[in-house]
Amino acid sequence: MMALMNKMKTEKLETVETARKSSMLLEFCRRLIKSGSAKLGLFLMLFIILACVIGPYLSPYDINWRDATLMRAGPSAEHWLGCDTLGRDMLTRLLYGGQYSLLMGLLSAVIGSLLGIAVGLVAGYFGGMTETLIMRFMDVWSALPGMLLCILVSAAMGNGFGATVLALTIGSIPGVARMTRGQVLSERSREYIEAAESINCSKLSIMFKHLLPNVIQPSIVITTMSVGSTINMAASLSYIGLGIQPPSPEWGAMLADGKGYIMSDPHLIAVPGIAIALTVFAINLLGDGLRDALDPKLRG
Amino acid sequence: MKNFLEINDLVVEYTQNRQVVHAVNGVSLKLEKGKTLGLVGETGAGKTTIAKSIMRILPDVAAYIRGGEVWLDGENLLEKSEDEMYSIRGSKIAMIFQDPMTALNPLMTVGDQIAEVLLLHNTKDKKEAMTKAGDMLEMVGIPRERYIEYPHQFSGGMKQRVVIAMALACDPELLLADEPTTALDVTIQAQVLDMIRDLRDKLGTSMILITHDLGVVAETCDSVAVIYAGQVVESGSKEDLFDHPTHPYTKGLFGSLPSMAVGEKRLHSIVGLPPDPTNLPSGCSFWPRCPYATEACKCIPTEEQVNVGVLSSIPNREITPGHFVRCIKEGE
Amino acid sequence: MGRYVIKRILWLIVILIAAAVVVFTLMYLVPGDPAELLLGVEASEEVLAAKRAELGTDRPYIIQLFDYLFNVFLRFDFGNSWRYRVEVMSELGSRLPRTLIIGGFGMILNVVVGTVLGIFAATHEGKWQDSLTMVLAMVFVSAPGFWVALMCILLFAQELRWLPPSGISSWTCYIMPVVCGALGGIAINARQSRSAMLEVIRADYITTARAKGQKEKVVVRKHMLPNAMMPIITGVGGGLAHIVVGSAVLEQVFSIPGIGQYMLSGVNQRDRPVVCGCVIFFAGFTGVAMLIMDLCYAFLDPRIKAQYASGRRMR
Repeated sequence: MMALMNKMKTEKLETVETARKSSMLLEFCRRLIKSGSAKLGLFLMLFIILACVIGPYLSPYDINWRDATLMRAGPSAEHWLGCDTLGRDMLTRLLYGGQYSLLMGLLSAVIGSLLGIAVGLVAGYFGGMTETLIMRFMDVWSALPGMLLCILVSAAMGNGFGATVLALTIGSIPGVARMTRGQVLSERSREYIEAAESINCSKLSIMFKHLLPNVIQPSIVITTMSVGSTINMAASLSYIGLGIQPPSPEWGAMLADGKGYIMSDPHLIAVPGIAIALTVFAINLLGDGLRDALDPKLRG
Repeated sequence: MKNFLEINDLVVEYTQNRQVVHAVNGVSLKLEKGKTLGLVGETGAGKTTIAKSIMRILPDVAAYIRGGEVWLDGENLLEKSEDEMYSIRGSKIAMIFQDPMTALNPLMTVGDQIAEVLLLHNTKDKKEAMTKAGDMLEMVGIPRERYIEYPHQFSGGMKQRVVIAMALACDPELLLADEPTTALDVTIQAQVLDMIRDLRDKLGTSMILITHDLGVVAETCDSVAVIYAGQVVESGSKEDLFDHPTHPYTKGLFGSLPSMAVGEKRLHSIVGLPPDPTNLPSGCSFWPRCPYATEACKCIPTEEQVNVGVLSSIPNREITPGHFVRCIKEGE
Repeated sequence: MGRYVIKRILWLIVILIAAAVVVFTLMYLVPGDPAELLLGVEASEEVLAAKRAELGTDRPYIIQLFDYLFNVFLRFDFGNSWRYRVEVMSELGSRLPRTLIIGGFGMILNVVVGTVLGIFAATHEGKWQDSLTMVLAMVFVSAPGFWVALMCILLFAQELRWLPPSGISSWTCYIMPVVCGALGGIAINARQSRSAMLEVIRADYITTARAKGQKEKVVVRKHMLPNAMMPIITGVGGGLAHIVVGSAVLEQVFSIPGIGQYMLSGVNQRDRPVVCGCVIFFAGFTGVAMLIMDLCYAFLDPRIKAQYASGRRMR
């Protein structure tokens, strides 16, 4: 009987908890939508994603369709954004390549952040020698600027999709780890952690059930922003001859493909560049909005 | 002019998220030279805004002084140019802020921060300013040697002493003390308050003391004004208010003080919350919380009153000489 | 304070050694036999073996690594380029000025223009000046730096013919690289200094300073700026890393024979001594810059200075 009552009580508490969480989520969405820049970013982002996913199917041209007479042709009624160095339709390739670029940015940023958060959580929660060792290691790791490390890893690992994602991931881990650790340090001394420890919660459960939700907010913003910067980095990599290379239709690879013709056929460079800039712009707007919605204190 | 400071119908509004916050709605106050006026009221009632309006240091983007007059020594401060205000702030009027933790520039030594105000108004000589700043530190009970220390090296009470030294450095004629002890430990509160009182008596400064602590008012002030929702609801001498509180809000305030005399078991509290300053109730702004409220209290102000920013048409009546109450049921 | 600086310098050396190990290992892992890469596939086995012995790549990894570390950190010898047989050290020396011009002037532009724009936006908060500056900053934060550089070449070299598109034949060649290299950093810095400034504008001690009767201009210069400087310096540190690495891609775009381009050609030709030399140089450069930045902090903020003095703070 007692047990049943306790169980009921717990369930009731959990319902209350869920209700509170969902109202927080609602409040968060409300604030996100209220911010004009976030709205624009969200709208742009949805548009870009939709275009990249559906676009290739709507296009009359196949991804590998080519017409040698149309090599590097400028924009026309048939080919809205012109044709590339082999006479393939730029728009189709751009939309198709967007899938690669977006996926690569998202994967690298999310993997990097997850690893960084995990490392920071462990370092911050355990403290002492573990923390010192981990953080010193992170210091060494970040002694090389992220892009430099990315170039080297990419050179060592080769040009594949997976290798490039790995190269892009590696540079972002120390920053997130350091930030998460800082957050954990300030949360660790709070009463709710002490309370959880006093009722013998396991270390794992304290870390992931109690600490994580309270330290993850800044990481969400950073991750969003780094999706954008990762797409930029991937493009730079491709441009200098590392990372994903032509004939892949990834945006950076398209830039690299057209780099010899900048003076004669600028649309080869301008089109993918604008696509990258617009996407990153949308992501950054969204990131700004997220930051404001999550933490009004940070509002600039 | 009999009164050293006279504020007439001051109206201040803030704009926040495209909403107008009615912070101060037609406040009139009087203060004689050398006396102390206590401003009492809940948090958010507009006390600090009144003080900042006198000095004209409200944030200029968000806040707007919509109307009124602030006469100091026969001059209307609201008509002064910004250049003229520079020479008045800090020398004629000085202010002690609520939170000493954030009121000091963390990157300057405390001595230099005191010397800064001296250099502005008192002397052009840097050495003299430094010596005088040292004197001020000693006056508030801080050894002269700590001139070169930074705010982070001081405790909260010590920082408030520095702020006080800064405020009194140029012998201001009017001192605005904005809850000078709220942010401090209880034990330090009494010390700091005693010091402010001693210095006021020694220097003969007039003072406006903003507080929500009626005990502090009883010890320090000559007259009292009770502020509610940006209006003075009752004002008079300390004796008038303490012995004959008349406005229901004032009565409520005194009811919430613990009393030794009567054998009461519970403290009285005023029901409800202060009104939303973006959407004040029409008529008397206290009626939603007032136990004696009638339909007459909700009367709507006339259009011309609204035009000058007066949101309540409840008259301010003098019930005994010098004792004003803004309540239509006064004396019943 | 002095102890802190010494500690930091020792730590910097440790970091440099670690960076050397990392870059050496990564370059060791690059697939392909360096000797074969240099001599071509048709080279005979004896010639290849002789080449491997000359380069020292026939030895085990750990021996090669320690040999390299010994040479770099005790004899200050970065070795010779495998392909061009030139001393990496002397090549770095002759290329250094070009990279420094781009990096140095870029840094100055970044700090001055970025900070001024940020303060300008913050003091006009909510007005159109603020929105315009922030939208522009957002655009340049978002667009890839090398792509902006390419577009600048198109506009100023191709269309308007104001500036040379590439090379180092005259000082005008450096204008575009410097400006393009700084643009991204300026944008980031402008955003950061704006929010730093906004935070300071709302601070209580600013009201205190106004209450003293201090003139508005002096309040900005004496109270706001120094306090806003803290986060701005952090931004400058980040901007530096941005510029150092950006210079690699930028030098490629503008065909400037600087250290970044040297490194990239080394990467493409699998020239291990060249890559290692350049990376160690970059790591040292950033490390020293970060150290200077931290010392600036201590110089500006008595709170941080106190922490350094008591040895409680170490990055």
